Amino acid sequence: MSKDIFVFIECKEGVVRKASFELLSKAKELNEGTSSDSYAVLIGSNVKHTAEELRAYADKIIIVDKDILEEYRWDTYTHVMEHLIIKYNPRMVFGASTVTGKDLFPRLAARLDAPIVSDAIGIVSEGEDTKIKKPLFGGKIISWVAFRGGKTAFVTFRPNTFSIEKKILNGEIIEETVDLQKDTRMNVLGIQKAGTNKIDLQEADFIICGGRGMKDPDNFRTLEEIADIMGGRAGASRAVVDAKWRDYDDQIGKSGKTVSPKLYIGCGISGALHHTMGMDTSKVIVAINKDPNAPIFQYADYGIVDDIFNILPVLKGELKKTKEEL
Amino acid sequence: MDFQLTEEQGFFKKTVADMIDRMVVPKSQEIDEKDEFPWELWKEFARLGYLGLRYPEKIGGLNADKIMCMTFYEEIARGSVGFAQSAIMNILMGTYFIHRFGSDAIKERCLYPAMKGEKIATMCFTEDQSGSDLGATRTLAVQDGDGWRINGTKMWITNGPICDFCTVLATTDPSKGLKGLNFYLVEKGTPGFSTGQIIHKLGCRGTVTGELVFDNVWVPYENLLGKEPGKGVSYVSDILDEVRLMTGAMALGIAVGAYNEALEFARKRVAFGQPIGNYQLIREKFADMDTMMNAARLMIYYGSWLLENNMESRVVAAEAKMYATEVCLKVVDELTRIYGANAFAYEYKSQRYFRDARFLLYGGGTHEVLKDFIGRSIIGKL
Amino acid sequence: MKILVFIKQVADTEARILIKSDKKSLEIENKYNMNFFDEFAVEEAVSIKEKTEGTWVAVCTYGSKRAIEALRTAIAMGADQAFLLDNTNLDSDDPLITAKILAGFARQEGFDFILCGRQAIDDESSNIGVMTAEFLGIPHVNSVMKLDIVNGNRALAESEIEGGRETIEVQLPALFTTQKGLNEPRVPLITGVMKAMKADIPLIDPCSTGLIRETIDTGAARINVLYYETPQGRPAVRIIEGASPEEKVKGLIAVLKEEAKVL
Repeated sequence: MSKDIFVFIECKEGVVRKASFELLSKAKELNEGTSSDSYAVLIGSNVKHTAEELRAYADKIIIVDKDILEEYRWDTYTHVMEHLIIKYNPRMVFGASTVTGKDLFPRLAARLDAPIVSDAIGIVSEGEDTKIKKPLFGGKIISWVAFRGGKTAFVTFRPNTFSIEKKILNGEIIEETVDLQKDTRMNVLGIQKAGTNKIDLQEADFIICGGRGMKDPDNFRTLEEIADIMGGRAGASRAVVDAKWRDYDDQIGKSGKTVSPKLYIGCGISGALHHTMGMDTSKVIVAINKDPNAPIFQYADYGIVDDIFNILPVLKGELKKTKEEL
Repeated sequence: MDFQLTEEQGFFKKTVADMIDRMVVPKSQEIDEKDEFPWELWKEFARLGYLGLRYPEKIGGLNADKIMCMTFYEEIARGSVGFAQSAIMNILMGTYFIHRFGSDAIKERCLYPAMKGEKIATMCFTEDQSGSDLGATRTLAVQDGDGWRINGTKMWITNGPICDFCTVLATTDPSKGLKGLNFYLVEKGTPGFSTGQIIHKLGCRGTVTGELVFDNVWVPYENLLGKEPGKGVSYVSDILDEVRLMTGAMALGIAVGAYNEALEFARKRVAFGQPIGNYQLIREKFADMDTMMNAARLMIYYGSWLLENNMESRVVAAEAKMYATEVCLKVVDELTRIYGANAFAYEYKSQRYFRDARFLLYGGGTHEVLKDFIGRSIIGKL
Repeated sequence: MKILVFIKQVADTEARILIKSDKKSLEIENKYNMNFFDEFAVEEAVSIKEKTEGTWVAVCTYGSKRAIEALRTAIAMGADQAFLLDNTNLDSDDPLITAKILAGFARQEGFDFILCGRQAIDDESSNIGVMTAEFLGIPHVNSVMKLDIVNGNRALAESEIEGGRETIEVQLPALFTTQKGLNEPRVPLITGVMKAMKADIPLIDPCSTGLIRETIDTGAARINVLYYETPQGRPAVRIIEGASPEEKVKGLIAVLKEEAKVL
């Protein structure tokens, strides 16, 4: 087994996802001072120009460019990754804990009978050993785990776990090819894109989330405007999604998405556990609620006790000013 | 002695608790605030089949044992006391005499639909001047042709104003006192049977409680629920223990709900730099409450075990009801103390537990009457 | 048609969890439930059974005897039969082992398709369903929000993918993981509850399905928990005061800029 680290690159509309850059930065950092390489593994169709984007972040970039790989499918991608991993024998393979990551990595790990830790939020090298930080029970407990057995190990990380460090590398592009066909047992009949330009909730640096305290679905427009000003995303609590005011895609919490933005602002959110377990690893948490006893204040760094309808219009104005100053 | 619920009973309790958490708890505040009968919830709830809990499987019921019944009463009261009262009226008091003494035709018309929630049942004992003192019942039933003519007014009847049928306690001869009492079935639509004043209650809101007026109401002979006239009070005795234990179970449910609120608050509320749960006097409250709740629970389940096994349960049932009620009142009081000023706001749950708990003082018998009865039973006739 | 459902019993989100003094084990308050996402799997299996004659629903879990309660809940909802794959003396943190055990059982039991929740809310790893499909050599579809079984031999599934939804036709046997929105899990009727109370739930030794003990016991685990810790707490919230909403907001922006440095 080599000491190299593979990073599976995910793209959205032909553009490399932020989470992949984060993983490349971390892989590079872990290999600092060693002779091991960090590899970006890019699978798809017409990806050569995308590979160029990766050169500054990885020592090597493996590309497998075939028409059949244009859309992600677990069968084709698992086959390609399996082939590459057997050939290169990296010590770890990183991926983002996204919809695609959750589909591909377990299949691949099982294919190779390899250990996997999923949805991790940290990794630390201690000499020869590596330990991985994994949250449990909605973040109430942190576990540190290690691999045993000396085989290639798989780790998926939550988006927004690491910062992006642009190294001035000059990654070498390696073109690989693999023979493959689609699994005939599966046939994709159609794809409906969400049709929005909304930033992925899990990748957003800024999230402003509304709860039942928003009183009316129309009031979310202000949250969307603030999200636009900040280049982020508006989110929703379960109660609001259940009431059909917002889409399930916006839901943050135990039965929705887990997010970790740099700045999270909760408006009219009470702070029930099933919501907070989906956002309490955010870097900075701000709560706005007129009830000083709302549990959300137990999780927040800063708070304003006031009616959100008094605060939000002012907040929007001030944030706009702040952004314009920058 | 095995003090544990069996695995099956434990599963039943958990399933009922989950169901209450999903269906009733989220609506409990609205039920209390609006003080209107929650028809939609009633329909959803009836569909699940719990209203047939006590009755035999062969008529579509569940043959639940007394322990399971008490578990159910405790959990539903924890969810919403108002809703619980209406449901339990259909499950127990409102249908008991129909099940036991009703003719097949009466059962078809009343019991089976009530078990499905299609009809609302109730039982009428209390009058303006008689609560615990059944012998002072003034509602009069007089034989009239091949039936009975009933005259009188009943008060404080749960489900009364919305009921489809009721079991009425009436006397054929006031001079006979207890020995003159009988039960009669009166159905909605019977001429002379009407709803009087609706009572706006301090607690247990969401259940409709009021006055029922019987003005020359005539019912056929078979509507006498009992083997023969004059046996009414002995039938009351039969159901009394279960009603008292049931009330105790409700008290326990309210206490558990209040206790859980208090615990969560004590863990989170910060004063003088730390959660108040760290302070000794707050800890003392929990020590006391937990002790008392454990004791109340054991008494309720002991009484239910005696009842289930056809052993003498009269005194224990009365004691259990009394004790569980006193415990509940203490717990809801402590909740308001732990909550501080927040207990004074309608926004928080603590005030609802506080108000709802008061009904326990008279449902199933006032404590003054119960204590006298218990003391008399112990000391004996001197 | 035979539907197999995998469920997991997990600690309630409100359960208190303490790290024991050796830091290598946890004390979990005795409040457990069927995993949230598995409810959709059980509900879907029971709904399909109600629509399709001759369908049999079997539910299983790999866990301790405590998990029998979760299996009873599945029966109360309408499953025909439940099995406990007993993890006594075998418990490990390695999902590969769990998946091998579930696959071993599925192979022995036989099935037309398998349903399970898309992830467990205690570890949020979302591995088991997909891994088991791999070990069984069958296709999988993740995060299914709509499922139609056609002619008992193939399925039309709508699944959540990155940035949208995909409609996919899959030949059975296959495995589907269920996502919120697929259906509304039913509250069991009391007749179901009574049936569940009386149900006989066999305990199965995983080795009896043909697996070799050494491949699935604690020694075979390739993931090791080194230790547990509590997350770094945040200091108590700083409430931004002010005489007016404008003042409060200005105060907030100031700290976010200067102190927190997120603006």
